[in-house]
Amino acid sequence: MTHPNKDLQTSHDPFHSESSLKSYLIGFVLSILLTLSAYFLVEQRLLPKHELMIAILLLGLIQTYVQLHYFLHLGEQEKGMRWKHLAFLFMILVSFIIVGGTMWIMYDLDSRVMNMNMNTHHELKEGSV
Amino acid sequence: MSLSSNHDHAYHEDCEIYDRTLFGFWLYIMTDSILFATLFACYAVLVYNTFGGPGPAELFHLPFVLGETLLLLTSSFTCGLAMLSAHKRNKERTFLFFILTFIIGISFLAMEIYEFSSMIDAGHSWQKSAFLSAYFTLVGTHGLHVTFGAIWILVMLYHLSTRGLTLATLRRFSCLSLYWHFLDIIWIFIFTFVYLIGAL
Repeated sequence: MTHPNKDLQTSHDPFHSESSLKSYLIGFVLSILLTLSAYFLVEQRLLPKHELMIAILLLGLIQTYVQLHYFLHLGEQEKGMRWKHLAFLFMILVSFIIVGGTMWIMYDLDSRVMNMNMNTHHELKEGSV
Repeated sequence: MSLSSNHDHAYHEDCEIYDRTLFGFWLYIMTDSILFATLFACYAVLVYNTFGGPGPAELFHLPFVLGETLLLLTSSFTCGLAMLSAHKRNKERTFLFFILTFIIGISFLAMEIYEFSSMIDAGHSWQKSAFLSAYFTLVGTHGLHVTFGAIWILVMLYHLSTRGLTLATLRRFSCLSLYWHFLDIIWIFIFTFVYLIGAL
């Protein structure tokens, strides 16, 4: 087996990196804009509730991608075998199963129980699972 | 074997160690993300179980949280600048930017501690409802991660000043910066799902 770790290397010198000031600046400015947008959308209630929720979710996901790309440089390895990328996708899969599965199961159980409802919020709020 | 090829061999090994360590640390970050996913799952299930008490809309102060968010984001940026300096082998700048990262991170923690303690003083502790338990566990775990990261920065600054910017020091700094950026990404989810959606 020749150089099994070559797939992991983006360069041969660890002191040489793929990041640049431009990358961090773009990531920083974009993240601030996305954060402020989401914040003001909520504070000023510029959209009806359902659309507002979707908008905030989208802004959050976009910012996640921005930071993953510009700060963490995910996905910039050679096309050969992107192990970091693969590990990341697997984590996303596991997370979806855990979060989605938990919410589904608990909601299902809750709907089968006779509730003396002491909660201030309705369980079946619109927009929630 | 000539001396130069010995040196090349050792250097090549060091590069492999660097790459393997960074990848291994990335795998750890992935498992830590799953840990946070489970805490988010709990929060999602319990957020409406306020036991008749106040919920997110009543308890959270959005302007304050925006301040926390911008602080943590800036610290992620200064961490990136620190790593740029490290890759350019500029020891002084690396030191400066990591100190800045530390100070901003500590400020974030101070704000969060203030937020938590004023909630508890007002009687809204994690013992009062399932919602509060889930909230303090999720956001508290994140804060604990930030705390450990801050301690790690101090340890690394000690390494930097006593051992200099060696390959091993760079390797550890690289892991630290992965960790620090990851914490800011987790915070995006907390900001979005806990605070922003909670205010609706």
